[in-house]
Amino acid sequence: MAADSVLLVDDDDGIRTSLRFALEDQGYRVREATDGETALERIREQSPDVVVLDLMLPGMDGFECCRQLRRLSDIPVLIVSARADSHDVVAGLEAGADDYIRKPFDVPELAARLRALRRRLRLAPEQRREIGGGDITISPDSGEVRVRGQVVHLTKTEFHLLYELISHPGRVFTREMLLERVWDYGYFGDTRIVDVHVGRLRAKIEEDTANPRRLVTVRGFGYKFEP
Amino acid sequence: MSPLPWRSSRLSLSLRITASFGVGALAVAAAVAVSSYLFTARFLIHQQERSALHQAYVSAAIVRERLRAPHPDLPNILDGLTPGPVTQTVIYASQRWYSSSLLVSRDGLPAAARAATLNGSVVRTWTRIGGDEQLMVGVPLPEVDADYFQVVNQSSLARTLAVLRNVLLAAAAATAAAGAALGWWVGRRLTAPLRAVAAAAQRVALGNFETELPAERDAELTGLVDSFNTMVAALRHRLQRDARFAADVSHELRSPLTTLSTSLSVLRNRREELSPRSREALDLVTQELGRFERLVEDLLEISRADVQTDLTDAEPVRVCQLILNLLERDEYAAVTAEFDSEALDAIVLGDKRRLEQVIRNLLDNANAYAGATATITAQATEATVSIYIDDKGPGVPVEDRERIFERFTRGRGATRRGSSAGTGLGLALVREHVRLHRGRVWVTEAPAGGARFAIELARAAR
Repeated sequence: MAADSVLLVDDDDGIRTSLRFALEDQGYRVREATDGETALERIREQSPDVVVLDLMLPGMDGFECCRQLRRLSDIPVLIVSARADSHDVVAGLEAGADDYIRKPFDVPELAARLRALRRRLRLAPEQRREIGGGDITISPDSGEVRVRGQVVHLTKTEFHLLYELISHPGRVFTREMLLERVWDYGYFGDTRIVDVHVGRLRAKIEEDTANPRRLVTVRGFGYKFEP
Repeated sequence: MSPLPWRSSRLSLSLRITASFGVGALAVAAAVAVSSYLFTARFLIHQQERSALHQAYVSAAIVRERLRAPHPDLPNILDGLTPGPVTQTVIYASQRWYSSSLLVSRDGLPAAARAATLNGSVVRTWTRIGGDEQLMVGVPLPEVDADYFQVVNQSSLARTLAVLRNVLLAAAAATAAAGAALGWWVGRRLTAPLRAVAAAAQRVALGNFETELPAERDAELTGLVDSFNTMVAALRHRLQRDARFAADVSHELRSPLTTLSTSLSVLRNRREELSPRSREALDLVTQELGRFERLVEDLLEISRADVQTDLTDAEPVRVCQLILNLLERDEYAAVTAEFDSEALDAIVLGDKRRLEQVIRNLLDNANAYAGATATITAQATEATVSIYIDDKGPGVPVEDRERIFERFTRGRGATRRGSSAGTGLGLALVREHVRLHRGRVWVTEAPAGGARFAIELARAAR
């Protein structure tokens, strides 16, 4: 099996070069792009396995690049931000990114994030049957989700999150539990990642996102799926 | 917080205005009451005297006519004269005294006035008979060698005057009270802009630089309001500029730091290829870069705290649960925590990231000065939850217990262990974060010796 390929999108030569070395050390094949337009082109032509996207790019910024990229592909996107304090992170996640990492980062941490994004649902054969709740059915085999009979397109991360919730209907998951199960964070991730993804899922499967009936918030605890 | 310094002066100003209005109203009301009383009393007395005199002349004329008749029957004359129960008549004729009532007799008449009448003068005088005010009129009747005396009981006039006096006194008191109330209201109105300025200044002092006074229509106050708002805006701009600069510096440092740390990790992957001397140098660079990164993060964090006065996105946090989650990290393996169910249930409204940093910084601090074995306990009351982090180190001397929360202060002496020097901002950040949560943090002595860092946070309503 060929090594996973990473597309690095960053306009800073130093970061790109050092990161290429580091990721190649980790066994990745690394492609590079210095701006958003080139990045979209590379995704179209080379379909990398995962994208590491800096939010501060010349020309088309990272948010816009992420939005356009999502129309092409459900490839996992890890955004890199120098401003983790601001609303950039949430905006980047809302633009369609799966996870974020803050500059400066540890290479082992980055590698762990990339591994988590590449990880697929590991399911025993008996778990691969179609499951559902209410008017939603998901089939882990094909990755297909039907809401009220309609096929809905989810990214891998959204699918994974929905699978965790729907396979334990009524059970309350804390944000930390979901971070651990879906993103492989050992309890210490930014829970805004979960919130943004739940919001995105609601937009795709709820009839009324302002009054969600399936993905319910449990105040002070987390989320649960109501069949 | 010290008592608000403007409060006492505001009260005294308001009080002074209230008192002046009250005293002024009382003075005016009293003057009006006294003059009304005197005027009315004089008028009424004059009326009574005139009518008594008139009645006396009329009656005296009748008596004179009757006495001219042969063999006058005096008791009969007296009976015919007495017009009502308030008027009594006494007649002196043929060396004898006749009286219309037992209540009034010769001896009841005031002696001086009686003598004057007997000597031929018309007399009008006030006297007291039987406990009542009486008006006596004496008319000599020389033609028939007699004297006519009339006594009119004036107790109803006295009662009228007493009622009038009481009514006027009550009106004066009510006027004074109304004046004081008006003064209080005027005082409040007058000092309202001052109080608004003082309250706004207080908010600014507490760090809310978004404070702005509403525009004033009053020309005398516009100047005050304008300069206050200008001052706050200047202060805000300056703080924001300083904070933005620190934030920008930190952001700008992040890209080169990323390149540095990534390149270092590439080097560390090839550690075996390096000479021992190069490895040592690599370790030094790695260690110092780590410290540099933490310093940049802390600087950014504290510059953020400088411009922030409120948690913008507070959420319900089970703070003890958060601590337990945190302690699952390997680096805190030697830290023990014991919470009762009440504490575990306690929810505070807060920012998880900041609360985590508070606990981590306190644990790192304990680790640096006292070794990794800290103990965390908590106590929840109705309104608060307190977290205690006890270490087994030498403790913090009383004189340093405030100072250690200041920026870039280090513990006294070379007690800090190991090479992982802190950034000097850890405890300052703890204080800033706790302040943002409207909580308190302080250091004291742990029951088992060592230092106890205590945090008190308000519990969210259930």
